[in-house]
Amino acid sequence: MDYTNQKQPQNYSQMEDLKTLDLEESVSETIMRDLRMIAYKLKYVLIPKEQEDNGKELRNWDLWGPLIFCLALAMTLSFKADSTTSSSKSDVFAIIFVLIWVGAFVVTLNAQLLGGKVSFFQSVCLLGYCVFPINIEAIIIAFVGSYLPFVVKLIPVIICFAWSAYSSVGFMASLVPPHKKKLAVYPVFLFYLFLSWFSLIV
Amino acid sequence: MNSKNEGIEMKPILKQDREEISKYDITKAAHPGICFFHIFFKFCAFFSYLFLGLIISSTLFQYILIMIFHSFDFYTVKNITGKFLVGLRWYSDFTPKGDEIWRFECFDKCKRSKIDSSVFWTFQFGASCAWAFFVFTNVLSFEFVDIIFAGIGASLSWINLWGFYKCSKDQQRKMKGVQSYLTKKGLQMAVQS
Repeated sequence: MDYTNQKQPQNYSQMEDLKTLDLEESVSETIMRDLRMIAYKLKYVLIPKEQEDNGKELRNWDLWGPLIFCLALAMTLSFKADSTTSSSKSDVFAIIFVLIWVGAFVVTLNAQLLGGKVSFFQSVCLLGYCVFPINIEAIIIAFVGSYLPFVVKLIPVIICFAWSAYSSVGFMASLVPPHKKKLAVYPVFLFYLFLSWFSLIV
Repeated sequence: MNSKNEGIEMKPILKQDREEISKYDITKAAHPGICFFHIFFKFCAFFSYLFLGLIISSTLFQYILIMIFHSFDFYTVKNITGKFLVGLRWYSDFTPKGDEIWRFECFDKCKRSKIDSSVFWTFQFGASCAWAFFVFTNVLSFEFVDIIFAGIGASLSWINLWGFYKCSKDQQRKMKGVQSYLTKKGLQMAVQS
């Protein structure tokens, strides 16, 4: 066991040592450590080159990352929404929020019912982190969308949707038996497709 | 040296006197700042749920603020307040095989006081019951959106309460284990001598 690099975990099997150390941690250290873990997981999930062991790093799940991205997406889309009535803005916020969490729950439930052996929270964590490209796309469209024709707006939408779907499908497909892969992967596509489309038309 | 020792001996006696007068006197707690934040985020969440509509007209900002306060409260109680005020911690871990297990732990070496733990448990339990009450009234009056936010608040509070309750059971079991070990040792020594 390597005890030297304990501030920044490169490998989550070292988390045992870290957990005994944080008895004496101050509040700011706790917060910074959690933020660094979120950034590390984000990089791991979204940059395919770093995925060597196919999901073992995700065992240390956390739901703070998904919450941040969900809030960011909901806020971006509701600020951009039709401002004639204030109720439609808050409706968009509530819809996105409920949609992301209920959608992640349903997709995970589907994977588990198909015989996938994965912890419920790990899968929700993964689906939440893969919402990040849709966040990027929503921000791009919010800033420059009004100046571009519809076809040009489709390009970042398609790129980010493909990025999200590709990142999450790799994990989801490895969880279920091979002959049920498509059944498990299809709701994931639907989920991100709906989110991308929603961010385009709002 | 003598005056220092006297100073250390004096403080616990004073603390016990004051504790009988007021269990919730935060200024005498071992971690007053953390007690304050434990109460502050709960108060903000309740205030924004009940009264923010009177201050800010845009419902969107109300929803955003309520969600932010809920998540701050949950994070603070789980990671910061529980550790400093009552010396307990709960989290999910994974075995080398890859199975997920939940761990509930208590710290032995931790500066605690009765005020800290009474503040922690009272406010956590009180907030959980209050959110549960709001969910109940919203269900009865069919206010769908309010159910979501009160429901999120209630579930986060009850999850924390359940987690720390299981930790405290572990703590009590440890204490009983330590006591029985000490009595065994004492009996052994008495028998040997």
